[in-house]
Amino acid sequence: MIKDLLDIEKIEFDVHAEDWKDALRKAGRYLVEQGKIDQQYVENAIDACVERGPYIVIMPGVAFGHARPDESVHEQCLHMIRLDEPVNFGSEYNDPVRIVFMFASESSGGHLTVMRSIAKMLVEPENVELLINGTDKDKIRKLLASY
Amino acid sequence: MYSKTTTIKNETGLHARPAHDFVNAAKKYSSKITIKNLDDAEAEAANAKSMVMILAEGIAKDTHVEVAADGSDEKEAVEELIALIDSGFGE
Repeated sequence: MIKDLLDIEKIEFDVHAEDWKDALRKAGRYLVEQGKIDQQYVENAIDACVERGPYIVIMPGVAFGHARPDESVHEQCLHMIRLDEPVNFGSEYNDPVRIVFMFASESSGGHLTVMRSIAKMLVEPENVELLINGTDKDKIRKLLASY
Repeated sequence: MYSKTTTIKNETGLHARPAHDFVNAAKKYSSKITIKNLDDAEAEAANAKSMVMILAEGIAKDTHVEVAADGSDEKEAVEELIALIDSGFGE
């Protein structure tokens, strides 16, 4: 499911972000360039965090950026970046964040399925360690391709 | 051990924001708390204090779930979490 959606060769490492909003914009940049979402979708994801708190930080070190499906989504899509330096999202338990996903779906059911695939990968501590701190990028790509 | 069952009411199921609210409510209690997807025979009870474990359950709308707790505040914990699910998480 991750592999069906994520362009694994295009995931980005050592991305620099000034703050959490910048991190979400950088995570959305590739998808905006590909025409899969409008910039407005990324701004919606940021606004949702401002309004309702950093619930997108689903575990220590990992943010799952997304917003409600609307006309700013043209195609279901997923991207992932890893930051050069972690940023704080203001999450009591899960800061700081180094892995940032950006996900968009045209339907609300899509969120649950994709989030489930990512969560299944993240319940294994060794997978999280590899994603956040691993130096072997091919191993990281293989991990993402296996879910 | 104290447990109760209910059905997920909000349209998008236990996605990120409801799961986050659920976990934060569970973390207030000292009891060991789990939530289980009763419609999936292979599902294991997930730690109610772990957002990723809950998301990995993929609990959609209309799914039957069991919330169980074991500890000194088990009854209060289950009652609050069931009420939270039944409220539809304000959606």
